[in-house]
Formats: sequence, structure tokens, C-alpha cells
Amino acid sequence: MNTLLKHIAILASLMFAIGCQEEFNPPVVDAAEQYVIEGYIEAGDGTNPTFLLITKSIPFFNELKAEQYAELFVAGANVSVDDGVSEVAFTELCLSDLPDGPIKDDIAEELGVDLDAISVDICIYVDLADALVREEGRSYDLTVTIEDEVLTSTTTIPVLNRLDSFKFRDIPGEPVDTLAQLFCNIKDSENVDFYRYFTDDDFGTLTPPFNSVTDDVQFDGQEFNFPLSQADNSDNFDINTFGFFTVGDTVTIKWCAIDQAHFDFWNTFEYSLNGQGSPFTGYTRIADNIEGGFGIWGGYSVQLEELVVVKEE
Amino acid sequence: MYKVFSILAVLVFSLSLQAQETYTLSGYIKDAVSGETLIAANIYDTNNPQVGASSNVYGYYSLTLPEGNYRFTASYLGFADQSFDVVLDKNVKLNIEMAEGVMMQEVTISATEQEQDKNVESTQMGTVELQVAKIKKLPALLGEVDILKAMQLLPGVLSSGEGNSGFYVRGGGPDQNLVLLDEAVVYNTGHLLGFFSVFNADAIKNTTLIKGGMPAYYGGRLSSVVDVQMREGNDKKYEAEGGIGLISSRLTFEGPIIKEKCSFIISGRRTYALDLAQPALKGGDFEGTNYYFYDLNAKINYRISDKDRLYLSGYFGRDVLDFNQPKRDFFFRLPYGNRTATLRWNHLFNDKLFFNMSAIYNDYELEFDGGQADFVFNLFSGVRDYNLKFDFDYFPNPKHNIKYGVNYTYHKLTPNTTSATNGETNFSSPFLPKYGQEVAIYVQDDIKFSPKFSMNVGLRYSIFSQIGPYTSKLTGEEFGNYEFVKTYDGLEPRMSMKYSLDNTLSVKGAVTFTNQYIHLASNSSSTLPTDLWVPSTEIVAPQRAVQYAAGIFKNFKDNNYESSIEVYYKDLQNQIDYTDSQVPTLSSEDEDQFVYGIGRAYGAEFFLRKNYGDFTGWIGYTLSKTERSFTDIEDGRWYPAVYDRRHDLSIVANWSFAPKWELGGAFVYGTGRFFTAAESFVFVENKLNILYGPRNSSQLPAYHRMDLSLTYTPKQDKEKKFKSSWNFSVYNLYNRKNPFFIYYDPEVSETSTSLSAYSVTIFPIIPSVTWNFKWNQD
Repeated sequence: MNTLLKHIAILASLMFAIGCQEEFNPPVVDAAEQYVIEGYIEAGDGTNPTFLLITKSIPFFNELKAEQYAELFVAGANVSVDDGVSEVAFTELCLSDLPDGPIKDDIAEELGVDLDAISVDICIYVDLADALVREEGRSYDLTVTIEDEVLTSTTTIPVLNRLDSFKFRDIPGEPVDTLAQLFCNIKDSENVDFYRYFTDDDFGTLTPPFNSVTDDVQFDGQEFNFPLSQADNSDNFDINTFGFFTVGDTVTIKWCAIDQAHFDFWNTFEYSLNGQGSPFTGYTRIADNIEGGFGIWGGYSVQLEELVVVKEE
Repeated sequence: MYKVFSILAVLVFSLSLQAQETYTLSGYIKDAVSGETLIAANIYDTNNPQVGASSNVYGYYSLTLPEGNYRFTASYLGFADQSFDVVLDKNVKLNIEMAEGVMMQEVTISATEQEQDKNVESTQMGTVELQVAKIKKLPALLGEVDILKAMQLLPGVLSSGEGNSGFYVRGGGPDQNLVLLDEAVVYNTGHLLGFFSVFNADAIKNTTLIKGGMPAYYGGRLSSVVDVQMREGNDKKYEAEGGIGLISSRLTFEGPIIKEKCSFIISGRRTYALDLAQPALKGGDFEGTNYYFYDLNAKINYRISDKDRLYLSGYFGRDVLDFNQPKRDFFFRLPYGNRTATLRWNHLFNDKLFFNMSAIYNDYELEFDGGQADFVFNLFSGVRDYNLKFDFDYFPNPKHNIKYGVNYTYHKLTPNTTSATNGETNFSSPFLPKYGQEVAIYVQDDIKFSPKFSMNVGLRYSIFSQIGPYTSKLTGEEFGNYEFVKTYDGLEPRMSMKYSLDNTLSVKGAVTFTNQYIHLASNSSSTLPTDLWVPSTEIVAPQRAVQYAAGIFKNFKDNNYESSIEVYYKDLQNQIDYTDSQVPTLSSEDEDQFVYGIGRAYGAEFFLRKNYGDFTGWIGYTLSKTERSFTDIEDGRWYPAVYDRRHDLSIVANWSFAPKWELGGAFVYGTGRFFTAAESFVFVENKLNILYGPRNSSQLPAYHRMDLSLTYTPKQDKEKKFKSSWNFSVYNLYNRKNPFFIYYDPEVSETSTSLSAYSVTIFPIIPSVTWNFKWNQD
């Protein structure tokens, strides 16, 4: 249905060609500052440590200067996660604690910051000792205390139905030697399943594609082949190349099982993001799973595959 | 049910007894030129104008009076009055043919001051009849004459968006309007995302809007009725008319099959804007991409005898979007539209008892077929009704006009059902159509207690059952075909009354209870073809409403000016909306994403209209407030509905300033629409996204616009069979940039990040020209 509405929007855009747009100053809305949690815990092939970012929301009318970016990150919070066996306190790890080098660069990239441009320290919270039991079927209760405020959440790592084959084929329509379409095979279980996936983007970073989540209502319990699109972070959208892989590249596919709350978050997050600019979608309130704040505490059961893009004969 | 019929029978019998010493004047009132029957024309005793009757929707009237010599007058807006003498010493059948402002032989043109005026005299309130001839003289967007947009210029009726034919009435939602075309329900009234209505004005005879004081004859919706009657076709001679406009052309052909006994009309319209663009698309990325819509209206009627008539009418309309990207082997085709068919049989049991049976079919379907390479996808949704109605009009004496009847509807509502094929794998959605049946029985009487006091009182009883096949979501119980799953019912009392303070001044009041068993929820700012109708089920309860209205009605200057002030309060129960986090999906049914709440709407409407002369028009102003409260939306906080508009003003004028020239103008002003504004933004996964403030807590700037039209009609030679005229229209004359929608866009640079809001205007100043023509047989 999203796709359908999108195409209807294309039709409508023909009409906008005769119209125009101008900047609009909406009435001032008093916005209370909220803490924004972004934290993930992975099992399976997932290699990321369990970590948490705490930032603050920015009032609509504020302009965020580059030098203020680091001020969004909240330091001094107490973070703990209960995995049902033990409660593990996370370590606050600030960039200034790390020596210059590849690890620091990786973390900066994950946070989306330019180390040369920031003047304030940025901190994240990590299960540094990897003390949590990370496995499918387990739930994880998060508690974050920031001064007098307590934020809580729960997530689970569901059982993953793994992709069991990968084939690169000619793209549909007129063949292009340098482009390929990726097809995967899956045997979906009889349970209610939710999936999210990432691929390398043009810069080699694992990135979620345009619509990165799905449930299995349309294919529950079936085994079938389906295409996966390559994530595209570039600003130039080209309908003739969108979603296709470049022959000869080595790409990583990250295929994950997530729970329903985690699915709801990304489903509403992406719908809200992609719906901007369409006259036919109202507002969408992102369905988050943080009590006392906003954000996502999500579990992933991960399958990682590194593939060389070679078209099958 | 049996008791109700018994009471009806006794009532009818007792009224018949009262009328034993009287005789009946009855017949049809028609247009002298075309033979079209005239709806709601008046006939009354010239010497005692309080004694009279109106023609029904088939043009039939019946007036029973004591024996005597009478002089009667027949009147109809825009037509010359006719007076004639009748000796009523037996039952008299008299078909009256009226002409537009032309003196007829053997009749007297009566002065307009003797015409009874419905504005003051009728018990109905909140009711407006729109004549297509008048609508055609109003300015129109891209020259497309649109009865629904003309309706939006009336007080109490709001547009659902810039240039949109969707509408809201007195704080009711878009699904709470009962839109009928020859009695068939039209579920989606818009072409091209609602920018044009499905009604081709050339095929329409009459449109009645009822926004308050809904008679018991109508039911199934909470807020309003738009009753559109198709023309029957000229029964005297062949005629053709049409027009060529910027985006579409239309052609209507009508005439007698058997002169003054059987006639037909067929009318078509099609757009061609993108057809003309096809050469430009050839060889490009989107070769073969096209969009168009078309309508086809047809009607045939046959007078079997003086007592029996048959009418068969139908409508077929489709919007078709073809999207092709041959280079990538990608395509989809999206057709959607309505179909209606109505078969009616009129029968006169006697001069006082008029019977109509209608068998009606209507559907609205949306289909999507698309694919790429081995992947093929199909989506279908729709609503389909089979409807059987039995209606009686009983005219026992001038003090009573009784209507009663029964109505059965079988509903089939198909949610988004999908199927897909990917190579050798097939997918299909697990959701099945839902079925329901709706029965309504009603009786109403328009009672004239005295020349000053009259009342329309009615009672409607409706019952709706969800029926199988169905598997309960609550209990898992399986229901077979036609097996009852859940039943709802309700009594719907209706009452409106009028007290005349003098011949030109009256006060009126009305109370209307309504139930609605079929619903549509939409989270977009305008109605879309993808919006789904859903029935009441074990999960979704019926919507219910009660409306109280009161008004004062005054005519001036020999009825040339009519005015009214109406106030209303509407209480709405079981209102339906989506959760704030709703995402359109094929993975769950709409009803699983509904939330339920209550609503209230109140307001005052001011209306002043000039009916006759070279200069005609009206001013309508509405002061209103509409709110909703849902337990699951912000803990039940009352918030303004998206169609809450504090001030709404329309000024409409027509001026015949020269024999060949006519100027039309419209000015509209409305308080800005409520919307949910961004409150703050956040970064997650390095993406900037928006957190929104309370629902509908911000307002867009005020909406206003002026349109003008100029119609040039060359001097018509009466001997010529072919006549034509030119219409020049300018939409949004002073190029007001009214926002169609607002969107947010992050501004990210090396030095800063911020969120900006943009207002998009889609209809700047738009001139258009339409050439209209008419041909008729001698």
C-alpha cells in the first residue's frame, strides 16, 4: 500500500508542476525537551557490542550549529540492562577516553561525527565486558537514569529464519552488464516474524535501504525467492539503477530478526521519513518503545553474509 | 416489524376515510420543451395559497380537496407560473407543462408574490436545491462544471481541500454524507484524487442537499444527503449537447424512442490531457504512461400506461493510471471507479397513492496490477451493494403528505486483498470480504396543522447484521454463509416543524437521529481512491448522531430575496479514526488500527440569496466549531477536527450585463485548516526525523480566493438547430497562494542543521476556456 500511495503521489506531482512552494512559518509550538535513546543488542553473527546512545530532541525552531552537535549527547547517565540472569551496568565511554586510531574513527563514523569539527566530548554507553547473555529468545530490560529521570524499555532477540542462498541475476528490463539484482531464498517459519536488513551503501557502510523492515503476513510459513535492494545513500536518485548492485563489488548483507515493538518503531520511523513531501500522508507519530522518553531499544538476531557480486550464468 | 406495518395500515386507512367527500387533482408536472419531469414544483389554490402540494422526485403531484370550482397555480423556480381553472366535481388528471419564463396559451402568468416560497413555507430546513442550469454559470476550475464544488459554496458545507470535490457538512466526516445518484449510493465521488466530481453536469437534472432535518426517507449516514437525479431525456425531439474544454470533452445525446412515451439520454465525458502528451513520452523512460478518467451516464424511461412507468438508469466511471518504465520492465495499471444501475417502477394504485419500487446495484472498485520481470502483484478492494426499495407516497388531503417504505441492502465489502507471483511462488493475503445486510423501515408525514403551523414527523428503524462467511476474531467461532455474526439496530426519530409569523417570516426547528453502519476512515488530508469502506462488525460499532437545529427564515421584496439564520448542535458517538502511528499496510485489516471516540459540532449559518433579475447570487457565512475526542488519542483530549473552520464565507454572483454576455463570480474565505505541526526533531541512526505536537493544534493561514467567469452566447437564431456559447473562466483571480499541504525538510549544511517548513500551492491563477454547443431537432 505504501508503494501504491507513492505512485499516486507521482501522479499528483504532475499537478504540482503548475503550482509552487514557499517557506512557511508555522505557529510556535512549545516543545518539552526529551531524552532520545538509541540502543541495540545483537546475537547470532552480530559483532557489534551492546551499546546505547543518549541524545536530546531539538526544538523545531532551533538551528543546530555544527559545534553544538556534540552537546546533544548526554553524559553522566546510569545505564543498566537486565538479561534475566544478571543486571549489567554499562560503561560510559567518551571519545576523549580513546586514543586516536581506527577504533576511535569507527566509533565516530557510527555516531556520524567529524572528529575534526567537534569541540565537545561525545559519550556512549557500552557493555564493555560483553557480560550480557546475548542469545535468541531472551528479553532484555533497560533502565536509564539521568539525574532525576528514569527511562525504561524492554526488547527481545527473536529466533532468526536465515537466508539460505544468494544469487545475482540480470536486472529486469534491458540488461546492463555492470548491474545485478540480488535474489535470496528464505524458509519463513509458522510464527509471526519481523525482519530488518542492511546492505553496504555506496560508501561501504552497512545501511538500511529505503524500506528496511517487513512482517511475514503475506508469506507466513512459505519458502520463496525474493530480491533485496542495495541501500542508497546518495542524493541523486536514479530510477534505472536504484537498488541494484555493481558487478565486481564485494558487499555485506546483514539480515536480522526483530520483535514487534522494534518493527513498529522502524516501520513508523521510515514511513514518517519517507512521507515527507507527500500531500496524502498526514503526520505519523513514531511508535517508540521507551517509557519516559523517546527512542528505540532493539534486539537483533543477525545473519551476516559477505558476497562478491558475480552474475550467475 | 409486523406491529409497525399494522400501525401504518390503520393510519393510511383512517386518513382515507377522512377524504371520502373529496376529489383529487393529480398528474405530472413537466418541462414543456424537454418533457423532463420537474421535481418539487408547487401547485396550489390561487385564492388560498396555503392549500397546495409539491411534485415528488418523479414529478407526480396529488391534491385532494372538497368538491368545487378552483383556480390553481403551478410554480417552479425559473419557470413562468401557470394558473388554470378546474371544476373539481370528480377526480381530475392534469399533466402540467411549464415553460422557462415564456407565456403559454390558455394560462395566466401569475405574479411572483403569489408563489409560495419554500424557504419560508416548507417544514424542511438545512435543505437546498441546486439547479444545474445555475451551476453551469458559475466559474469552474479548468472549466469543468462541478455540482459538488458548487455545493461547497453554501453555508455549512466545507471543501475537503484546495480544488477538491470532497466535502464536510456541519462537522461531519467525509464518510457521513449519503451521496445518491438515482437512488444508488456513490461511494467515491471524486476523479483524479478528488479534484473533479464524478457527476457530469450535462446528465444531471437536479441536486438536493440536506444538511439538517433529514427526513425519515433517508438513512445510513449521519450528516447529510446529496440526492442527485439524472435527466430522463427529451421525449419530444432529439437533442445533442456537449463541450470541448482544456482537459476534457463531453457529449450528450437524448431524444424520444416513442414520442412522449419513451425517451433516452446518454452522456459521456473523457479527459485527454495526458493522451496529448503521449508523443512526448515516446522513446523516453516512461513511454506508455498515461492517466485519464471517463464517465458514462445513460437512462431510459418508458410510460407503460397512465399508471405505470419504468426507468432504467446507470453510471459507469473509471480513473485509469498506467505507469510504464519499459527499460526496467516495470509497470502498473490502476483503474478505479463506481458503477451504478437503478431500475425503477412507478405505479399509481390510485390518484392518492403513488408507489415506487427500485432495484439498485452499485459498486466501487479499485484494482492495482503491477510487476517487474517475474514478479507480478495484484491488489483489489471494493464495496458492492444490492438494494431493493419499496416506497409509497400517500396524499390523503392537503394537510398530509405521507411517505412510508422499506429498504433492504446487501453489502459486500472487500478489504485490500492481494495476490502476488514471484517465479513459481504464489502469495495471497489472508483477509476475506465482509458481508452485511441492512434493513430499514420508515414512515413520515408532512402535516399542515394550520396555515401557520406545520410539521414533518417521521420514524425510521434500521437494523444491520454482519453475516458470514466469517471467522470471529474474538472467539474463533466460524460462521457460514448468511449466518448472523453481530446485529445492531436503532430507532431514528426525525422531526422538523415550522411556524409562520407572517407570510414572509417563519421560525423552524428540527431534531434528527441517525445511525451509520458503513464507515470510512482516512488519515490523509483529502479523500483518496485507496480509502477503504468497512462495515460494522463484531469489533466496529455503528456510528450514531443526533442533530438539533433551529432557524429563522425571512423573504423580502416579493420573494426576490430570501434569507435565513440557522443554528445547529450535533452530538456524534462511536466516531472512527486511525491511531497516531498508523501506517497503511497490507498486513492487517483497517479495523485493527481503528480507535473510537466522540464528537461535537455546533455553529450558526447565515444565508442571503437574490433569486430573480439580471443580478442574482448569494452570500453564505458560517460560524462553527467541530471537535473530536478519542480515549486512545492523547488520553481523550478534545481537539479540533481537521474540518473545524471557525469562519467560512462564500459570495456568489451572476450578472447578465448585456444581451450576449453574462458575468459570474465567486469569492470564498475560510479560517485556516487545523493541522498537526512539528514540535521538535531527533537524530536516530544518523537520520533526522520529526516529533509532532498535539493533534491539530496548529492552523494554516486563512484560505481565500476569487473566481470569475464570462459567458458569451451569440445571438441565437431560433430557426437554427445548432447553437453554441463560450465560457471563459479564471480560477484564483488574484493568484492567492493557498497552501494545499505543508511539509518539512531538513536543511543540513557543513555548519548547521535545521528543519524548515514549506507550504505547497497547487492552483495558482488558472484561466480556461470551454466551448459549449447544442443541437436540436426541429
